Amino acid sequence: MDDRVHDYVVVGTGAGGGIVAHQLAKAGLDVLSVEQGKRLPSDYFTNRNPPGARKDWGIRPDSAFPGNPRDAIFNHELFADTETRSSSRSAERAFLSYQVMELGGLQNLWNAVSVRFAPQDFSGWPVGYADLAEHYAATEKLITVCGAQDNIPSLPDGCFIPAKPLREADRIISDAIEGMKRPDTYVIANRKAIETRSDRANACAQIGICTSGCMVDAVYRFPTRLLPEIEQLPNYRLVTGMKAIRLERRPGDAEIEALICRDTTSGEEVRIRGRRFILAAGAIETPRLLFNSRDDAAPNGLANSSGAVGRYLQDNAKVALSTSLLKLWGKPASSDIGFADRLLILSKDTLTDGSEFSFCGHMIHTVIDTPYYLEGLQAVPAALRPWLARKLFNSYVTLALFAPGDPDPENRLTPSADRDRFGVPQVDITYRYSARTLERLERIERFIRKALRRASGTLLYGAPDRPGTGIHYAGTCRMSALPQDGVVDRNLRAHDHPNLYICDGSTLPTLPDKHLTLTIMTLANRLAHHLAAEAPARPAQAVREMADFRAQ
Amino acid sequence: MYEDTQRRELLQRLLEQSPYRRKLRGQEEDIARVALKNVSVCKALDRVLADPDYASSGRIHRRRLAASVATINHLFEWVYFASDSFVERARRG
Repeated sequence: MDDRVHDYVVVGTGAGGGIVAHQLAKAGLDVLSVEQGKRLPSDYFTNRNPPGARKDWGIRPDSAFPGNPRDAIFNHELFADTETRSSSRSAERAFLSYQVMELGGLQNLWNAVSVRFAPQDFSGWPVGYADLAEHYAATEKLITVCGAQDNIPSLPDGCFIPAKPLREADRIISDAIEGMKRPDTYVIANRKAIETRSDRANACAQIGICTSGCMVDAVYRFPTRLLPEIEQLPNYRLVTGMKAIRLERRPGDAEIEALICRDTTSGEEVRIRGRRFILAAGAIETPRLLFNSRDDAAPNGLANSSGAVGRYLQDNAKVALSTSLLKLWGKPASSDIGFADRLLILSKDTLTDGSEFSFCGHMIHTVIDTPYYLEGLQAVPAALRPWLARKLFNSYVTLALFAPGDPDPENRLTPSADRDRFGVPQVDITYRYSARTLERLERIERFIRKALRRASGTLLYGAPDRPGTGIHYAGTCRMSALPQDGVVDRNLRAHDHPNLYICDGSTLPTLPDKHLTLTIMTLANRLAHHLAAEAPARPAQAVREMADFRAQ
Repeated sequence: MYEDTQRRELLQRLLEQSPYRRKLRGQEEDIARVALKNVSVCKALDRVLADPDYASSGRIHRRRLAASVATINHLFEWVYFASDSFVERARRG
C-alpha cells in the first residue's frame, strides 16, 4: 500500500459497500475498497456439482441424529468458521451468525429477494419512503430486479424486468392460499435481483438453487456486475486480503484519520489514510470494528457516545414447513429446477394483545439437496425408502415465512475475550426471542399448516427456527435523529465523527417482515449521491454520467 | 472417551452392515471425517465401544445398543439421500 490519502475508503464489498463504491467511482471520486477476503475464481460456482454445494452433506458438528440436521441448508463452505468470523464460538449458543468473508460478501450466496419497504415500515426512522423512492428505482435498475406490478399497499411496486413464469407447484400453493380468503393476503411473483431476460448472456438458466451460488452469474453480485464497470477507472482501487482491524483518529480530534488493517497473507499491519471512511462490513462486523477502535476518549468504542453500538440486534425469525403435495404425485419431474422460489407471500395476523403484525416469505419448490423429508419416511420400511423418496422427490414444497424483527436493546453484541485467527478480538452475542416474537411464530406456523393442507400436503416436516438463520441482520448501529438515540444520522453519518459513515444493515433502526437487502443497497445509493453532491468539483464526464444515471 | 482410530474402526464395521453400504462405497473417508466431528455420532460410537460385550468379544448387542446403532445408521441414510447421485436420479423420476 502506498501512503496516499484516499478521498473515500469503503470497508466491505457486499450489498452496501458494492453499491456505494460503484456510485462514487462512477461520479469520478477517488475510492479505495478494502476487502478482507479474496476474489473467488470465475469458475468457482461452475465447479460445484448441481444442484447444491453443501459442505459435508450439510452435517454440522452439532447436527442431531436420529432426525434431520435442521440447519443443513446453511452449511456451505463459503460461510466463515469460528476462526474467521466476527462472533465468538460461544456466541452461537444464542445466535447463529452467518458471514461470507470474500469479495462480494453474503451476496455470493444470497437468495436475491429484492423488495421495497412500505411507507409504514419507516415508522420511527429519521428518513421515510419519500426520501428513498428515487433511489429504490435507481438501485432496482442497477441490479436488475424481476417482478410484476401488483399494486399492493404494503409492498410498493418497482422498476422490474419480467418475472419468471409460475410452475404447477406454484399454482397449487397460490390457489390454496387465495382460497383461505384472508384479508391483506397476497401471493405474487417473487421479486429477485436476477437476470431473467433470455437474450442476455447471463440469463437465469434454472439449473440450481440461488443460495448455493449462481453458476451463470444471473444473480446480482458486486464482483460480477458492478466491479467490472469501475475496476479499470483511474480513480478506483480495490485491495483484497486486507482485514480491517480498527479506525484511528488523532488525539482530541473527532475526525477519523486512518484505517488499520492486517494483510492476511503477510500478517503485516497496514495503515490506510483517508478523508472519509465508509463502513459496510455488515451488522456483526461493523460494530466489532467500532469496539476495537476504542481509545482513551472513547473507551466503549468509536461512534458510541450513545451506547447504542452493538445494541438492538435484529433478525427476521422464520418458520419453514415442508411437505409432499399429493396433487404432484405421479407427475413427471420438471426440468425447471432452479430459481426455486417463484412466489412471494404476504399476510397479516393479530396477537392476543390485539396488535397486528405482517409476515412475508416464499414458497420453494425445486431439487432438494438436503433430505429434510427423511424424518417423515421413518415409518416406511428401510428397503422401500429410496424408492418412495425418488417417487415423491418432485412433489416437495417448502413455505418459509418471516416475522418482523423485534428491536430490543438487550439483544446485542459486546466485545469478547476471544480472538479470530488474525488475532482480532471478536464479539459475543446476547439474544433472546421475546414473547411477542414467539407468538408471531406460532401464528405463522398455523397459517403455513393450513395453507399446505389445503394444497394437498401430506406429512408436514418442520424446520425449527434457530436465531440468526434469517440472515437479515440489522439494528446494531441504528439511525437516529438525535445523537443520544443512535449511531448515525439520516444521512448515515456517525453522530460522533463527521467523516465516518456506515452503510450496511446495522443502520436500520427497525426490521419489518420484508427482506432488507434492497433497502440497504438503496440507502447506499442515496449515501453515494449525497457524498457526491458534497464533493468538490469533479471531471465533467463524471458529472454527466451521474446526471444520466439519475435521469434513468 | 475413545480414540478416533477405535471409533473409525467401529464406524467402518457398521457401514459394512448397513443397507446403504454399496451406495456409499468410495465415500468411507469423507463419512468418517464428518462423523468424527459430530457430537451425537461420537457419543453413539462411544456407547457401543463402552458396552461390555463389545469390549470383550466385539459383539454388538442389537437390543441393548439399538438406539446407538440407529443413530449411526441415520447418519449413513442421510449421507446417501444427500448425495448428488441420489438427487440426480430422483430428479430424473
